[in-house]
Amino acid sequence: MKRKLLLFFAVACIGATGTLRAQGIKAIRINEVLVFNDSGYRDNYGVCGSWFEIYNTGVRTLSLGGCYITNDPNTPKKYRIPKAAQNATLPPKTYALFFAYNEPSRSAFHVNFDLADTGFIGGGRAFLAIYDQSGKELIDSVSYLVSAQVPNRSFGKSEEVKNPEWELAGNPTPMALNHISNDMSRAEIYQQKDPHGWLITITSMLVVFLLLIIIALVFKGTGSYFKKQALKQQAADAPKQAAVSDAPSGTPEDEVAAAIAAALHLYADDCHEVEDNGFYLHRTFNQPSPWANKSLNFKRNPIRK
Amino acid sequence: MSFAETISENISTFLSFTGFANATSGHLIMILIGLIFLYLGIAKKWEPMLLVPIGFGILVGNIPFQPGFQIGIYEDGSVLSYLYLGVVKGFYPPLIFLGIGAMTDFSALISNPKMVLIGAAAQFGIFGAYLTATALGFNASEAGAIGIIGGADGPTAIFLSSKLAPDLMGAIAVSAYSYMALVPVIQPPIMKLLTTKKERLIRMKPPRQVSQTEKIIFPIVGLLLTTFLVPSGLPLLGMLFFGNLLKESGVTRRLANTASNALMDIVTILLGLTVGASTQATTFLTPKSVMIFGIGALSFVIATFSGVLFVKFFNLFLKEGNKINPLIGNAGVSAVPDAARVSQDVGLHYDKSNYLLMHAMGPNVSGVIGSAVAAGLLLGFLG
Repeated sequence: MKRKLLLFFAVACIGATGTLRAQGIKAIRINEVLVFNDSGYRDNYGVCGSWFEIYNTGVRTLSLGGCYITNDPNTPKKYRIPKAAQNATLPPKTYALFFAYNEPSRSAFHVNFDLADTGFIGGGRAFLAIYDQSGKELIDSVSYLVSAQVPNRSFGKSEEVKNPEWELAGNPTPMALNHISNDMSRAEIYQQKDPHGWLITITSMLVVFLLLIIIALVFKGTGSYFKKQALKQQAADAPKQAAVSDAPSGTPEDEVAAAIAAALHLYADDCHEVEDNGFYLHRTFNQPSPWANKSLNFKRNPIRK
Repeated sequence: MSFAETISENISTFLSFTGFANATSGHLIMILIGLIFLYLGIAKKWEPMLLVPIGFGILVGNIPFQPGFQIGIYEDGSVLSYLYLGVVKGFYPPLIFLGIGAMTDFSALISNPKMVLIGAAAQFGIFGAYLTATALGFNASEAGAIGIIGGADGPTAIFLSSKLAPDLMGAIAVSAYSYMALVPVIQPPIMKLLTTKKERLIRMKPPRQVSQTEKIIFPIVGLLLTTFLVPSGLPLLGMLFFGNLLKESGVTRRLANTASNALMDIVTILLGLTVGASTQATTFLTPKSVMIFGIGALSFVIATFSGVLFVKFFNLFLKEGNKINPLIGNAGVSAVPDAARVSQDVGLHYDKSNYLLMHAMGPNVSGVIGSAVAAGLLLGFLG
């Protein structure tokens, strides 16, 4: 029995060590990504390149040396972090920052790809992943739509929340606590939520139609009300008009009938004037002539001699 | 230093200040564009009220100079920069809308309210352009500002771009006004392409007489309905309906006259000149401007397509005798009253006695409301 217990403890300890080791490297994660760095954080070469941040969420110091970083899911071993690299060990709750503008010769923290490269997973998206020292076990990865990235705006995960989601980090915070903040403009938030603009388009067109349909219905209603009112008014005025029209002879009616008959005749027999929708003013000139010269027509004043 | 050397140095200093010394190929290209605008406005009489001030403004804005003397429109403290404030801060466009309201007769719309929907359909131009701009890599704010070109409404375009993308305002405004002037060129081929001869000959019932009370109620109810739903459209819609109430109330004739004549003219002059002057070659001649012009043209095409096609679709549900002539579908794109005039001209081309102008004015003025609402929505989402 004692033997069995000892064996059990031994196996449990070995398993726990393995688990702890595995959990150890699993405790790192990609924490913040800035794809378009136009005027923000610079590396030692003065370059504002795209960068990403790795964060140790665990309680143990971890070494990144030997881990692999890639932007191609089919090539996990694209960039190996040198084992001997300085600052590759991460104490708990600390960060490592990697520049990703395809200049790996500059330092161990400059990887050999660009974060804006969309050539590996398609759909305008880019990919970023970190693998363990074997290059086989995926530790963390993220994919993102490159066209939706706003210059000098990063996205990241909150360090203060369990199981955080990727969110807009607002102003980039390299090597520091992410401010998952609401200081982003509405346009930036919508750009992230709706990178192609379809949601705004559909919503807006629905609102425009809805609003104009409401206007149409309201004025259809008011229109029919006023039409009825006008008809009532006409009905009320009819006896008065009849009284007025009965009094004198029917000459105005005859004129109206004649005008309608003439119009119908012109229209039916197509002998009305051809209207070209033009309105012309012709200036008439009097041709100058000695006969029209007023000075010649003046009588001479008599001259007293 | 001798006298001659001093004189020589003074002359060379003076020469360095001249436009000749500071001119770049960009300035010359922009001056050429300004001259083309003036030619189109004066000789061809295409929207002269817009193209002449804008064209001359382009000349003013592209006279080369040495910076630092408070001359240019983008230099703090210059006279032009003060005049340009009305554009930057967006207070010229609502004043223009006041004038438009005071000039517009909405009775065509009131008498046949279903025409309002044609004005809604034409707003596809705005959102088609917005989607295109997004696909071409403009960010959401810029895409929204560019999209509004499809509303074919200069003041609305200026208002929205001043809020969403001030850097692109010059290109957007010039693009919007240019295509508004080109409405008689852009729209007829599309209208003819999408309609059959039978459809072009449809005669519509004459609009009913609208009472004065209805005309007075319209701006009040219109304001309440539209701005309660889209408050961000208040600066434009509020002024539009206020101007209309001044006109229709019958008791504020002097105010309506001022809004629709003197005030409108003053603001048009200032707006046109400063928008033109804002097209300084250094800020205007960029690949983005070229793309904006391309998207602008596309937006007018989409708006015309959608307006005409919507009428055809609408006709499927209307009884014989109540059908709408699809030639008025183009008028939904705003561009008051040019788009309605195009409907009239194309209609008369096929039937010399079929006058579509008053029918087209319904969708035309509803297009103004629709584009102002769309601008308010974009401002609400992206502002």
